[in-house]
Amino acid sequence: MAIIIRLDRILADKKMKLNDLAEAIDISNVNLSNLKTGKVKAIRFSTLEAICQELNCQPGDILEYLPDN
Amino acid sequence: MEQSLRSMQQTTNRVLQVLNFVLAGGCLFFLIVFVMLVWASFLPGDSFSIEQGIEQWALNANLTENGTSFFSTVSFRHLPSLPEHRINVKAAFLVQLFFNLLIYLSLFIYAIYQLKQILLTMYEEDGPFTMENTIRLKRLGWLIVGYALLSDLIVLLAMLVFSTHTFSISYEVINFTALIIGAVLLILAHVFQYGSFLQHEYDTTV
Repeated sequence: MAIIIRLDRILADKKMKLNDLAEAIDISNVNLSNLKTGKVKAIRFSTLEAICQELNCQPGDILEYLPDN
Repeated sequence: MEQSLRSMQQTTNRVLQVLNFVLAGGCLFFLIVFVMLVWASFLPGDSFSIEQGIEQWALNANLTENGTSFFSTVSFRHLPSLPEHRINVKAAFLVQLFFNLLIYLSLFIYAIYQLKQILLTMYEEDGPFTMENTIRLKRLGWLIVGYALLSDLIVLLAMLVFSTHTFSISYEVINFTALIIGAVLLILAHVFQYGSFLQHEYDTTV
């Protein structure tokens, strides 16, 4: 996939656990884990906004575009 | 939203209870018809009688000597209006029980079972819009279309071969009501297919 989720990297930078983030932004652990491992097809603006607010970062810090070739 | 979902699940629960009751009744009736069929097949030919009505025949089978009998009506669409002596009454009775009632009941039980499975997905999964339900509806739709086109024809041919030996056919061998129900189910299956695509999109969005 061309869009890579860098949630694990930013979580490590902020020294925060996935469970804590899930609790803070009121999203299920399973869904957030699926997002981290790239198993989801789309992310809502509201979810992205909540993650950015909680981790104090920009959407570009979480999403990264890599060309397929 | 949650309250409306809960109320929907309560309604589903009630419908499921009704479906279970209908399913049990259907199975019981199927069993009774099957026992009658086996019983009637061992009776001598003179235990059966036939009477012509305005739109249908009344077939009667005397099961025991003390007057216990079982009767069934057969439409002129299935058994043409012929002189009584040209009809093998026992064969007509058995054909009516086997081809008409058993086929119809089997289809009815299958349809109720599939509806129950579709409703069960409301509980066990996130919603009814799954590919399994789409396939169930498609299968049911094609089955009802097949029933609409073939069931009367099969009964008519069975009557011809086993009972009357006289060929008589009308345009009424096609059951237009069942054909429309089948077509509606196939359209509904198409809508469910789109619904299951949307449900998948929703499920894979966080």
